[in-house]
Amino acid sequence: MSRQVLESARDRLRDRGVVLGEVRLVERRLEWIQVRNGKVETCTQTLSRGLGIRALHGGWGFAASDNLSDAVALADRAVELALSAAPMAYSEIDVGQHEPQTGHWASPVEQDPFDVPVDEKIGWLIEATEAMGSVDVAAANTMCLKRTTHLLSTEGSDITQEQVVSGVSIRATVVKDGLVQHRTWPKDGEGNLAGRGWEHVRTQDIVGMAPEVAEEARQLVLAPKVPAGLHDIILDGAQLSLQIHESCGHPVEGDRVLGEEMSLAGGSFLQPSQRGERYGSDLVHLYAESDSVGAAGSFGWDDEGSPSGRVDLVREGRFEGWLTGRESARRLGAPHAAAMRAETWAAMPIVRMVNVNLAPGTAGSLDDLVASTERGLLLSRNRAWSIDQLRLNFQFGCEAAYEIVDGEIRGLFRDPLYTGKTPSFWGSCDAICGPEAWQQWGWAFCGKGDPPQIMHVSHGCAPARFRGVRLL
Amino acid sequence: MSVPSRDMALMLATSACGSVEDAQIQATVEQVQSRYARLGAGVLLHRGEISRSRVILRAIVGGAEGISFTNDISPEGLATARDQALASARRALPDPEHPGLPTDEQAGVPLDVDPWDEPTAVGSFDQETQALQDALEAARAHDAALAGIVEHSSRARAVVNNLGLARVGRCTHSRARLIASCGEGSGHGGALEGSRDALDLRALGDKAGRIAALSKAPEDIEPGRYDVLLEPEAVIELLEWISMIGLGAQSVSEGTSFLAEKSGERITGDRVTLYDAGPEADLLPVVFDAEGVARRRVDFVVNGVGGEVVHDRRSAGLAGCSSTGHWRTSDSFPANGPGTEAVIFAPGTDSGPMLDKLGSGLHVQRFHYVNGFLDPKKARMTGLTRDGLFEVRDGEVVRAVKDLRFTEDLLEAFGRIDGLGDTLHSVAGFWEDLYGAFAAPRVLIRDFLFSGRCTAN
Repeated sequence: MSRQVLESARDRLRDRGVVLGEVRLVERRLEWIQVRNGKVETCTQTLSRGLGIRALHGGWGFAASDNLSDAVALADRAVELALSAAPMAYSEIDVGQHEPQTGHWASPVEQDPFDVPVDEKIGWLIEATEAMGSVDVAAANTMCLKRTTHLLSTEGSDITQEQVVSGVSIRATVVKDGLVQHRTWPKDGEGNLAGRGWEHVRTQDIVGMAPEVAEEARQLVLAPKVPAGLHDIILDGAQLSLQIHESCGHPVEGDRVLGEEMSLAGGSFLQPSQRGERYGSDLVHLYAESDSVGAAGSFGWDDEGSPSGRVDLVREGRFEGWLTGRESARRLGAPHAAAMRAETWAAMPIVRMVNVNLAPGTAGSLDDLVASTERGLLLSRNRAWSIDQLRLNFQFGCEAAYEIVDGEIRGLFRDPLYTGKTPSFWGSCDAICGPEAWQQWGWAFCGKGDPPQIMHVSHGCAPARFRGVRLL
Repeated sequence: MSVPSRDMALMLATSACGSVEDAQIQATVEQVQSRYARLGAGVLLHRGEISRSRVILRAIVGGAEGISFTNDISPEGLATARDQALASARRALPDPEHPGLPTDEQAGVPLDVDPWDEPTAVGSFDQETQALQDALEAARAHDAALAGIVEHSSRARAVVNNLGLARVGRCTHSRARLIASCGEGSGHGGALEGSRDALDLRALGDKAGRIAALSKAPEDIEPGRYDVLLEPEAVIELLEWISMIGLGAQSVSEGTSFLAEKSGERITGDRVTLYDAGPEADLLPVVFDAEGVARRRVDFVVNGVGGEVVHDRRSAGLAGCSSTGHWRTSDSFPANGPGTEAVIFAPGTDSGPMLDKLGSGLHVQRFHYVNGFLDPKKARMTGLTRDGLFEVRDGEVVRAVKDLRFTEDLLEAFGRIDGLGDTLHSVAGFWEDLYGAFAAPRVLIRDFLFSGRCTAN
C-alpha cells in the first residue's frame, strides 16, 4: 500500500475535525510447526495484512478492513462510529498533547526466522522428538512471528516498526495407571519466546535436553504426590514469570482498575487507594520495561505511537503505579506507560502488558538459593493456572517439585499445586537470586479484551524463595 | 463495508484452489463482517466495525500436509499462499495413513438450511444505538455500571478442493456479554442468538444490574462442601474446559482424555448427557466444517456412559472411523486436532429457578478462570465464582457472599447431580474459534467442594 493512501486517510481524519486519529497498517506473518511422535502435526504459515483506523470525536470509533482499496472511506466510517458513540461515551476524554514521533524501530534480529527453510526446522524438531525415546507423546513446537507496522497520526507521528518474536519447545507426556504427566523444556507451548530471530531459537538445545525431559516425565508417573501443607518453596524462572504475569502484570493494567475490562478478564485489587501500600516484601521491585533488548514484549512505540520506556510498578515492596495508555494515565492521574497494544490490524489498541520484570536480588545462583534452604520444595514450570478476577486468590500447578533437604535436592514429587493471596504471597518472598540467574521468559498467548486479543509479553526474573506457602 | 456473500466466497475459493495436478489442494474461504460496541465503566468505550477475509490453502502430498493462511486475495497473493502450502507439504515427511481430502460423496450431505438474518447482516445504526442505550440505562436503574460487548456478525464460508468438492454456506449471529458492577458486587447477562432482534439488551442489562445490586455487599463465608445450584453460564465455563481436555480425537489417541478407552463404560453420573449437536444446534450454524465435511451429532457421554469424540478426516482415518465434520485449524494457535463446535449439556425436567430443590446451599451465577489441566483423566478443575454468589436457606436467598475457589474432580462431582433445568441457555465461548459455542441448563450438585476464599488475607 502506498504511503499516499495512508496519508489520504490521515488527512481525511484531520478534515473531519477529530481530536485524535491514527491510521495503522499492519502486516503479520506467523509460522507454527508442530511435530508429534516424529510426524508433522501442523505446518502452518499465515499472512494477514490490513488497515485499522481509530478516531476520537466525542467518543472512540474504530474501523478495520483488509480491503485496502478505499482507505478514505474507512476513515469516514471510523469517524461516524466515533460520533455515534459520543452520547454514551465518557463525558470527557482527555488524551493530552503528545510530541509527534517519527522514525523506525526493529527487533534485534541476526537471522530472520522466515528465511530458515521449513524442512530444516522440521528436521530439527523430529530429531528432538526421537531423542526423547520411549514416552507416550513426544512433541516439539516452534513459533515465529513478524509484525510490521506503519502508523500515521493526526498529531504528525509517522513511525514504522518491525517486531520479531520466536521460540521453540519440547514436551514429553507419559500416561500410566490413570496418571498423565508432562515435562517440558524450556517451558510448554511456545517455549521461551524472545524478541529476537532464529539465532535465539538455535540457542535452545532441544535435542540435547530431550532425553532428560523424557526421563523426568517417566519418573513423574512413579513419583509420590507432593505432601499437602505449608512449605518453603523456590519457584524456578519459568514458573515465577507466570506468577509475575498473573499476580502483578494483570492487576496493574489501568483499564482493569477503571472497570473497563470487567466483562472478560475482570477488575483489579490495586485501586488508587492502594498506591504506596504494601504489595510484597522489601525485596520485591517490579517494573514495566517496554524497551528491554530482545524481550518478547518490546517495541519502539506502542500502538498509539507513544515511545517505549520504563515505569516502576512496585518499589521496595510498595505498590507504585500502573500500566497505562494516554487516556487511562490521565484518568488515573498516573505516569503514561506506553502500554497500548493491538494484536492485529483488526484490533483496537487496549492497555496491555509489556515486559513486566522482577529486579534481581542478592541470593546468587539457583544452586546457591537451594543450598541456603534447609527444607523446602523447588517448583518447576507451569502446568495449570487460575486466579480470581481481582487477582488476589491464585492457584498454580507445576510440572514437578524437587524436595530440598539440608540445602540439597533429594527427591521428586508429582502434581505440586500451590495457592495463596497475592499480597501475602509476595510478602513472604525472602530471597531472590542475583543477576547471574536473571533472564527473560517470553509468553505468546496472553488473552484479554473483548473482542478477545492475544499478545506476546515477557517477564525478566531470577528464581525466588517464598516462605510458608500452602500446597494442596 | 460489504456484507459477506456466498457467491463471492465460492468464487474466491475456486480461484484460490487453482489447478494443481500433482497434489491434493483445498481452499477454504471465510469472510466475516462484525459490528460491535465495547462497554466499560458504565459508558460506551468504543464502537467498531471489522471486515475481513481469510483464505486457507491446504495441500496434501503423499499424506504430508501443509497449510497457509492469507488475506491477500490478489491472484499473486493466492498463488503465493498455494505455493507455500505445497512447499510445506512436500518438505514434510509422507504420512501413508492420512486419508487425504474428501470427495463430494465422502463429505456427506450437509443439512439444507440457511441460518441468515438480513437485518443482522446489514445492521441499523439508529436501532443498535438505541439498544445499547437501553442496556446501559437498565443497569443504571440498579445503580450499576455496565461493561462488556455487543456484537453482530455475518459470515460466509466456501470450501473447494481439486477432487470436485465445492460447498458454500453462511450464517449470522448476535452475542452479548454484559457485566454490571455495583459496590463490591457484579452481575452478568449474556446470550448468543442467530439474529440481532432476538437479543434483548434491555433485559440483559437489567438482569446484570439486578444481580450486581443484590451482591453489592457480600459477606464472608467459609470454604467447604456446599450443595450448589449452578446457573447455565457457570456450567458453560466448565464445558469449555471439558471440551478442551477431553472431547477431541487427539486427546483420546494420546490417552490423556477422560474418554480414552472408556467407550461404553460408566464414567460419571447417569444424569449427564453431553453431545455436539452438529447441524442440529443453531449456535454457530455453519453446517459443514472447514474441510467441507457435513457436521453430524456426536454423543460424548450418554446417561453417564462414555461415547465417541469429534473427528476430522485425518484423525478418523487413524481411528478407523469416519469424520464427524470437526476439522479445526487456527491462524493464531496450534490447533491440536479436531475440535468441538456446539457442545450441549442435555437438559432435564426441573422447571423454574430450582431454589426450592436446592434447599440450602449456594447459588452460583458464573465461574471464572477455570483451569482443567490439573488431572485431565478425572476432569479435575479449579476456578472461582464471580458475578454473584448467594447463600440460600430453605429455598430462599438470604445473603450475598464473597467469592470462593472450587477444586473438584468433575466426573465425580457430576455423579452428585440432583437436578437439571429444563431450559438451555447458549453462550459463545471465549476461545470461540477453537472450541465453538455451548449450551447448558441449570445444574444442581450436592456437596460441591470449595477449597478457598478470594479475600486479600
